[in-house]
Amino acid sequence: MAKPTESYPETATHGSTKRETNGEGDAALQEALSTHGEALAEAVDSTDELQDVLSTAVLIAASADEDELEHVTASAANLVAAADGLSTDGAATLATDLGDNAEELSASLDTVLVLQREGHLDDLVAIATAFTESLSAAEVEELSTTLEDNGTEIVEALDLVLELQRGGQLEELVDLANTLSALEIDEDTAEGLNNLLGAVGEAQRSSERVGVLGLLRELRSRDARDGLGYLVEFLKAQGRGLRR
Amino acid sequence: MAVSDDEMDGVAGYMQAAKRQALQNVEHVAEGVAAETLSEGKLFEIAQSIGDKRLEELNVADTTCGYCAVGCRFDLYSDGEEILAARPTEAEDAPVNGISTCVKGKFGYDFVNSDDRLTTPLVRDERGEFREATWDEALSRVVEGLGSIQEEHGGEALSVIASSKATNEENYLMGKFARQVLGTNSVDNCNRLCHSSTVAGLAKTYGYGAASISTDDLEIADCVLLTGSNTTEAHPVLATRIKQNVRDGADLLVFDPREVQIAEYATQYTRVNPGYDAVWINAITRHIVNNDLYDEAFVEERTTGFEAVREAVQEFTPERVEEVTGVPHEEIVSAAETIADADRCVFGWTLGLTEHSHGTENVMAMANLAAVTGNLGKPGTGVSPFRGQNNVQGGGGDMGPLPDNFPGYQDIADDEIRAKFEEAWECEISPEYGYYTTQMFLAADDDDLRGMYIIGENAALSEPGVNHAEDILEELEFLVVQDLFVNETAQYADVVLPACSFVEKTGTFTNTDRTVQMVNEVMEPKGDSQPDWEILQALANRMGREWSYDSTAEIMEEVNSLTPLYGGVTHDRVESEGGLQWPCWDEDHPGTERLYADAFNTDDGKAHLQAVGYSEPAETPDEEYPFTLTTGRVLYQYHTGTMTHREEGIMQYTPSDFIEINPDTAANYGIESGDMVRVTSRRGEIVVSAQVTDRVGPESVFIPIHFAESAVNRLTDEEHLDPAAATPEFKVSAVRIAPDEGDPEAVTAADAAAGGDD
Repeated sequence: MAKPTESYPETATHGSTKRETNGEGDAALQEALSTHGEALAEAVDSTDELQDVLSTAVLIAASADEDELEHVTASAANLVAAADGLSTDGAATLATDLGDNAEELSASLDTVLVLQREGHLDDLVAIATAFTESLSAAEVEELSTTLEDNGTEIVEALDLVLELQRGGQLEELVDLANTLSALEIDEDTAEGLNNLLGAVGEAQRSSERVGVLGLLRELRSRDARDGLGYLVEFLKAQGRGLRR
Repeated sequence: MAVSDDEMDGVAGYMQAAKRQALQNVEHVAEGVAAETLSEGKLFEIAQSIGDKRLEELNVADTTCGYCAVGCRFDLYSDGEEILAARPTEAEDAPVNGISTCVKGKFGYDFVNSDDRLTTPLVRDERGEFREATWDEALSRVVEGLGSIQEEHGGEALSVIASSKATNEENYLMGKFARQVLGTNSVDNCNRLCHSSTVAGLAKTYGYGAASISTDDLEIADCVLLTGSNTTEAHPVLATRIKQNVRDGADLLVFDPREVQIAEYATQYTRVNPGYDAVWINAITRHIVNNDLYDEAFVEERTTGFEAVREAVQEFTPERVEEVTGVPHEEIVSAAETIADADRCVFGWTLGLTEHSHGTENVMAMANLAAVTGNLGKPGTGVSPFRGQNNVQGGGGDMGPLPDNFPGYQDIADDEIRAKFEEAWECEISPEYGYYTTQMFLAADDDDLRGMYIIGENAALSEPGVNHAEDILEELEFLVVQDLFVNETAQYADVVLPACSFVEKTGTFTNTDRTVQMVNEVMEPKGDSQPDWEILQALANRMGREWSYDSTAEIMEEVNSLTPLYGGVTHDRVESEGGLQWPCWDEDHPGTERLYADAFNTDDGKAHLQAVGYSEPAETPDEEYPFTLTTGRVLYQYHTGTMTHREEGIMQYTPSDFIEINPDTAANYGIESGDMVRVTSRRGEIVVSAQVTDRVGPESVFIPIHFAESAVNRLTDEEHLDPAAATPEFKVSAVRIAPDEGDPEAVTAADAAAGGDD
């Protein structure tokens, strides 16, 4: 005999098995991340594709483990091998170009790696999040470009903003004037990089179209990381090529 | 950078999400590049290859729909978490529907992984509240609860309500469990609430309680008579086939109290007063017989009882028929002539014919009509009750979770047959019939029934007179409910066992034209839920039996050995032949496309026509309750809503209950569409919003059956049952209506559209 009972433990249902958002961890950072996560996503969505890729490079590098880093910063030989894997003439041509730039490319990624190795991973995320929330899409783009361009200066700049953050001066941290002057942005750089995708398209048109097909295949493969690393490096190298 | 399936916390979790976002970003870039550099053709190729690649990672299985009993088959796609899509399967594997599916079969799968899907057993704690339990504890409680009643009062004090949503194999075990493990013949299922009068009526006249036709016959008939069937909403895919036939020139006769949507396609629509079906059917038979329009040769060679029928129908004179049913004589004549003129006629019905206190008589009157016009056993002819639950034909009937029959409609009172099952199941079985579902609730009143095991059935909403049903459920000494959800019935349970849905298991369903078809697992059971057959096996073994089935195919082998109708219906054959229609006597038998081609399933091989006299509803309108309430379905909902109410899109379309009222009636009461209306019967009252429409006549009102909040079965009658089949009279209740004080509900475009689809 049982009285009708409408309530029962939610944990007995499928709903409880779905992902619960906030877990444990650094409470403050958690909060910052959950507050800014959406803004970040929005910013990423609203900026153009180039911006996406640059953010991506930062995020990947910041969260990758040693093995993964090795892959992302792979040597020229690896890159060429990866391109050869595409097995098309067009892609091979591109790969040769890439090979020429490989060294430089690795160096640029090192910038971000330094941050991670020195334990700035969390800071990096916090900053990236705070920036994307406070800055316009175009500004974020510029900032990312600068990250890309300014090797060691960036570390210094970041040190500055990290200090601001530690001092609880978040507002100052996101103050556009402060930050940008510290970073000494080169406006032409942003525009130059903006043309990057077009250049990729051009390269594709002049080599055979199947190249992109191969690229896509790589991306969709079970080990999407291979394709991802390839693309990130490829784009950076192209960007550098343009500036030269 | 392997993306793990396990979600991580904190920064790591954020970075994990960021990686996922990063991957997407790169995809976008790649797509952008591709869009600028590739031709459309090449892009299409790429999209195709990416699509194929992604599909490789999904689980795809062809299976049989779990909504109604049309038996549509299609491929379901799942990523293991949810059902992502339903797409047509190979034509030979979808004999009934081809590429068609209705809105429920195509999209109605949110219930499978809805948040409130029960994935852990529940028991009551010391305060009477539900708490989680392990399977071990829950099963122990069931054994203790059912076992102690069994010990003290005998197995007869227990009953099982089996589920026509479950597979044939599981229903076979539900019957076996009741008789062998519990020692009771009181095992029944939802068929009692729908087509049991069809089964009784057709069994008595022709021998088999099932459709005689194959679905194809609906498309090759010259004439289709439909009654009590809102075909377009309740059986949409069958309706499509009928409409196609009508488009190609067939006649369609629709007799119904409501001008349902299929009536729009009819050659003749005739509105009838609810509850007098045998009267107008007999009137048609009378006209045919008296004017020598019947099939003399067929009657002579293949039937008995014709003279008695001829005599019985004489009382249905034109004047009397019009007075009682509201049908003018000329409409009786035109229908009779259309049927008589046709070479091939199919007679189709749903619950409008059966859910009456004299449903069996209605069905026999229809069976007489089909027989005197010689419309049986030939292509394009026959009788076709459209079954409601996906597996009510197979699970609810053929597999014998019934108080009076073993599997294959073998009478438990027959000593020889009973001995066969006693030997096979190693138990003693009483020759006394058990309680029908409707009788169980009445028997519990007298303490003749003390414990129930309800599987996949929402009795608290679906039984007639639910006020009474609720009291009974609360008073039971022990109730175990096995379901996907803590539905209205489970709220009364001592133990709730989490079962799984048809997409999570393997077995067979039998559709409305007797086709046995495969049900294949598309995804793993959710959480700790289990298929019914595994739960039953675990319980049986804890209660002293030794069941050791490794698969449902093994259970079917046992069915084959004990059930002549299913003698040759093995999983292997069903799989390889894409469906097999019973009777299928042995492994070499090809199955039976159409019943009664050569002989009826009676002792002399002839159809036994039955004289059917005057009948009327148990409750007719009077001054106090001047309207006839009839109930039914709407397209976008299904039964008590357990499955469809969890589908967001569907709930946007038909979100709540309503009452259809004729414009004249509404004007008399000052009621407008959207106003709240209080509807009262001798059993109870509910408040629903009005839809003013001439779909119903001025003396009738209609309310759908799908909504718990306003449970229309508070108004229906649990006491007046069909004497032969114990089916309740859902289709007729006397009610009164009055505007209610509550706020009017806005009638949205969707409401209006839903109404228009009726």
